[in-house]
Amino acid sequence: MAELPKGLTLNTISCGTVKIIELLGSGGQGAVYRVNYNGQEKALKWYHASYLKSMDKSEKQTNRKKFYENLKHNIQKGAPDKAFLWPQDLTEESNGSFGYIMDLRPGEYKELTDFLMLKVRFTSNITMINAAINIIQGFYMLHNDGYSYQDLNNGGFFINPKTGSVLICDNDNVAGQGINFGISGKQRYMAPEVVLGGTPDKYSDRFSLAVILFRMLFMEHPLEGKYSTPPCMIPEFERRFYGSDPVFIFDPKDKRNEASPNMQRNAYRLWPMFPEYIRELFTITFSKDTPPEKRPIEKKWLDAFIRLRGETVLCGKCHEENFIDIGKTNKCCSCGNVIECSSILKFKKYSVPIYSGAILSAVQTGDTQNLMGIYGCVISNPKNAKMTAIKNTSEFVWNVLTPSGKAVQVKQNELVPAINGLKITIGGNEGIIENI
Amino acid sequence: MALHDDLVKQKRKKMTLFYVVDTSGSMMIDSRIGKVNSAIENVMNKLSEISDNNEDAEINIAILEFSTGARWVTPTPVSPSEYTHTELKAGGVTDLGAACKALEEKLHRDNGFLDTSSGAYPPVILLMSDGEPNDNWEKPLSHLKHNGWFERAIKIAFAIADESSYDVLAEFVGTKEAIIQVDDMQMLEKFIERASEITSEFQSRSKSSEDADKSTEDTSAELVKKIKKEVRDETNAPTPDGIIDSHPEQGMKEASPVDDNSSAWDDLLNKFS
Repeated sequence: MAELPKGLTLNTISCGTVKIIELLGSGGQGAVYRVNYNGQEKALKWYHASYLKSMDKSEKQTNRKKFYENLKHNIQKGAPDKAFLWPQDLTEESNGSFGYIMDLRPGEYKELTDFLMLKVRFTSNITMINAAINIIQGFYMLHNDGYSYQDLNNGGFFINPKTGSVLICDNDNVAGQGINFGISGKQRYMAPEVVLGGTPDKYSDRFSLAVILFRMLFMEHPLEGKYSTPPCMIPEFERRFYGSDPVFIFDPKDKRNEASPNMQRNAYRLWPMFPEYIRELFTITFSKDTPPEKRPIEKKWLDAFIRLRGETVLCGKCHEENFIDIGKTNKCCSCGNVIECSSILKFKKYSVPIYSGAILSAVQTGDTQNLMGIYGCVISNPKNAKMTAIKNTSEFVWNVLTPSGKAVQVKQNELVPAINGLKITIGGNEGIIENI
Repeated sequence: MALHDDLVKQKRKKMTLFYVVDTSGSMMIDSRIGKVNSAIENVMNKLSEISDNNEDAEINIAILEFSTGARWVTPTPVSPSEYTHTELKAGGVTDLGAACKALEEKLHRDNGFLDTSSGAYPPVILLMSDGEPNDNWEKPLSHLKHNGWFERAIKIAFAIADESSYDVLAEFVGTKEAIIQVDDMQMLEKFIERASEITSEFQSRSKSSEDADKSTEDTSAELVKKIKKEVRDETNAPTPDGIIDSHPEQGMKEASPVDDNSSAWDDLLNKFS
């Protein structure tokens, strides 16, 4: 069947009705339509009948019926995280095909590809880190639910450049561990074991996730250097450079593919600007010596990016955003000014540098369920940059205990001077200011 | 310098789409050449869009026409957004051999069309012809077939309104499954446009486990099936010929795996001179 005609009505398995409004776009597997679904505007992904037909021919253990049943099961189970544009209802089969209903993507969300091609830019580093956190959290929840995504690539992500909010699409290959519907993934994003013929799973998802994060942060591909750029990328070379002998461009031991200032200009410049604990996660993931099951899990990535967001400050001289290493002498990436942080607000797991521009996020205080919440920020006195204070930007009242034992309540928009030994309790979690 | 200031666009691999167009006198019949001209002219916008939104490959095009002799319409490959099409005119005989020779000369990095520091994907070659060649084509084609870039290119032929050249075209593309027979001239434009689009997007799609180890001929045949299917869907027309429902699995070659520890890698690299 060609394009579904406007006004065509389809029935869904939950007795809903879908009326076609217009075609939004078409891809290899199917087309997406704007539809009226039980009175609401939604999106319908409608498969090409030929795509479903090809499943029947597959020699693998699955076929279209299982694919359909899997979608049905995923719909019943619900989205693992709000970041997923998850299937909500499924149509009955019609003319050899079917489709599923999902929310429409709001216009403020831009394709990850547009970020990678510099058509869209994040408004700040914090926003970029928020996007990374949201992506990681999505896969953390997905894997915790027992699923794997199986086809992670640049085409599945939409990001709000102003906030870092993320929408993850193309969730139709999402299946329980060990189940695969014949998809391998997109070249350049597949894990080496999948390139070599293995079946995608949560371990290979973690490799692909790291490729996505690396590309977002460093604007290059982690495995593409001089060694892996043959004159013509034929399938044999793809198998070699992404499968049997992939070499990370910042591999500490294997220098064959080392990033060069001319060919990998972005990554070459940006790599040293990120702290060691971030670089290490990429190095481990992309090392040939790391077996799939030893790749860093989402929780580790999440901890690292929460720390990175918390350790982002503004240079006292040029006000540029910088990632600092607490306890070390840092130089501004823009003007070279020395950024020294001499005290921290220390919570159980995370520490907030007492330096202008640092944010106090909810999760740093111990409010682990609130990944995007911001409770405060560090500001400095415009007349004396060494005088710093923490501003309560939250709706909570903070209970502050001074070193002399005086209890003070700090309300929204009020300041707490950063004094050594001062304790701040926010929502039951206590932090203490310490000199380092 | 701030973190994300001074970012440069990542270098993409190049993918060159070659149009090899028969402009012999018979292409004037039923305005065949006119349809080819329209198709090339019209598809450039779409190709430009595909290239702009494709973070894997940058698409360039090159056009070779052949009639009495062969001539490059594009002196070097150009981006579709920069290309302005000048009408190809029909006249003369069908010197396919001359086209093979001209193509072979440019399917090289040195003094050819395929020199790129960021690497390339295998090219796509779309051959359009409406009759049997008049010159001695066997030897130049045989020479062309030894060119590594040609060997690994996606090759699709359009047999325009004439089945007499079918075997020659099959010889060129490597399999009859990679030929699109077009008898209805109203469909020619659509076929060329869809073939240009589908082959340009090919590198960026997700692959299934069934795609592994497919030979170049298999891949070309699979793309031809897709092109036919999409044109048929678009026009609700019947299958343009019988090939779509045949069995491409028969007689297909498998891509041979390369041993990691052998000097075979060097041999493979040397193919792309």
